[in-house]
Amino acid sequence: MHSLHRRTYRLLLRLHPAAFRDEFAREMELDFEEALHTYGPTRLFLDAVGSLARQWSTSISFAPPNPVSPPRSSLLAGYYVTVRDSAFTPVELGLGLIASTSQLTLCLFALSAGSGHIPDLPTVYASSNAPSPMRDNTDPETPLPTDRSSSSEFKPSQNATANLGFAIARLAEIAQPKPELLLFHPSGPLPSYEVATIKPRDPDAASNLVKLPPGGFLSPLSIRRYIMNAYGAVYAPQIVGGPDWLNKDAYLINGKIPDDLQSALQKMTREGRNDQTRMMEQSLLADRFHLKAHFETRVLPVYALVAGNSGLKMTEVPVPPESKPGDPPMRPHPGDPLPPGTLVTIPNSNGLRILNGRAIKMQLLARVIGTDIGDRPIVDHTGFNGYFNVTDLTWAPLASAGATNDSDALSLTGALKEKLGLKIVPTKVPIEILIIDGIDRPTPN
Amino acid sequence: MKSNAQQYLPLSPATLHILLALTGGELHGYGIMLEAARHSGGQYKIGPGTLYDNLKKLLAAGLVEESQREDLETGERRKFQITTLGYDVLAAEVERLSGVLRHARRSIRLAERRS
Repeated sequence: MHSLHRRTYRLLLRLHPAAFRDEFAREMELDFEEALHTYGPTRLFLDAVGSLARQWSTSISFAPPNPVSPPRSSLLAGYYVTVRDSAFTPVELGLGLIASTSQLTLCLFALSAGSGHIPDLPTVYASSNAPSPMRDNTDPETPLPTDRSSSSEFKPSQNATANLGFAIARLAEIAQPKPELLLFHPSGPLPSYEVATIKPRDPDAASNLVKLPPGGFLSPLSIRRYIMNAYGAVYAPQIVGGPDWLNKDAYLINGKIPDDLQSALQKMTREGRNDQTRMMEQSLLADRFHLKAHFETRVLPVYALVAGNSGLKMTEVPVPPESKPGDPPMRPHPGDPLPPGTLVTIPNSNGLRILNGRAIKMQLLARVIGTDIGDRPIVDHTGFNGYFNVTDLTWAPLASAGATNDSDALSLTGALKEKLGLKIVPTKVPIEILIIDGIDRPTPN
Repeated sequence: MKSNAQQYLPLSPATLHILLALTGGELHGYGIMLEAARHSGGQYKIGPGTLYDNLKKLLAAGLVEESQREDLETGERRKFQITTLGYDVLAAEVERLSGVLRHARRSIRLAERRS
């Protein structure tokens, strides 16, 4: 039910003027979550409706006349084209309110009549006993359907109010922006390690991340990084919340993969093996750390990789062959030719970073160079969907600014512009994040 | 500065409670909501909508400023603090309300004597 409240409140927030929403919606949502128990949902919804009316009334009545209204990219993005300069009269506002309420009511009825099952509302994960994304169920007496098709037995007509509530939630779901950076969602039952040992290590090692696949062996590392890996997060802010020890404590985690799964892994593609490893890591987090978490989408600041003003300086290459089951893990040695579809960055003796890629997509390039920016990820907005080679893209990493032996070395932005004809610009996009609701220190081995 | 503070008077109840809540130090949104409820003895509760409507105005007027940006990595919330101008406005409002109270008490006493 809390998830329904949350979604409804989020819908109300999305109806606010864009400027107000960008500035305060995130905080309002957090405050709503905290105040829900003490204030109650009705009071908070009424408060949000009041705020909605005040903000629109302010922005309509007191907006300065704008003789030339620049067209905006999208109405759905929350920007509006001004069609008149004078303020609306109360009668016009009243008519507008009646018209919009009627449309909303019709939408709700259409949605509720069209939905023959309960939509998957909350997305609560991280229990290996729950093989796939499942609904949050606090009542142990009420078993959850393990198969989504079984939810079709739900009779919406039995409870009109609930149905309307779900329709509102569906509308909230539709209003949810589609994330540009996604986390990894398990596609089936979570496989488990046969045996897993978790040993505490020197906390100084917590920031290290060295992965030695296959075999489920990870170097000492922080559990936040382990969660990032298990959920396919490309940068730290995608994992939100949790206690301090997630960043500070270091553990050596070693898992033995069951023999049958090990032989199955040999027949999978590289992507398939990675997915299985992530699922085993999620299973371990649920079993041994009692991780409880849910997914959300938030609009966050990022950098966008776009074509430079002077045009792209990269040449498109043919589509590389798809990886086949049984392909060896990608671990090219220095000097070896890169397999198609791969990209490596290595530091040179001058402290510079050198990137080479063969038949890679812009998304992969954006993701890899994003690790050098640190504070924000880079998303691909170039619009180029083909495959490209990158040869010896060299730059001075931010972390070693001033510490390189090459004073003429370009920064990353300079190298992208000079060598590839690309640039990075700040923007905001929807990103999928994982909110940690609860986690314990690991159970003994 | 005082004449500058006068232009913001009278303050709405929500604005008064928000400024008053921030006199104790920087707070995030929910902290302000709790503090407002606490110092009004639970009689005045501000919801997030009312809070941020007013914070938007207070930030624009320079009576409140942001003291900390939200940090998603550490989970730190966005925090706000009262400015010097905010203190001046609050002091001026309290003085104005004191005058109103004095006048109200006197009027009530006179009315009681007449009856």
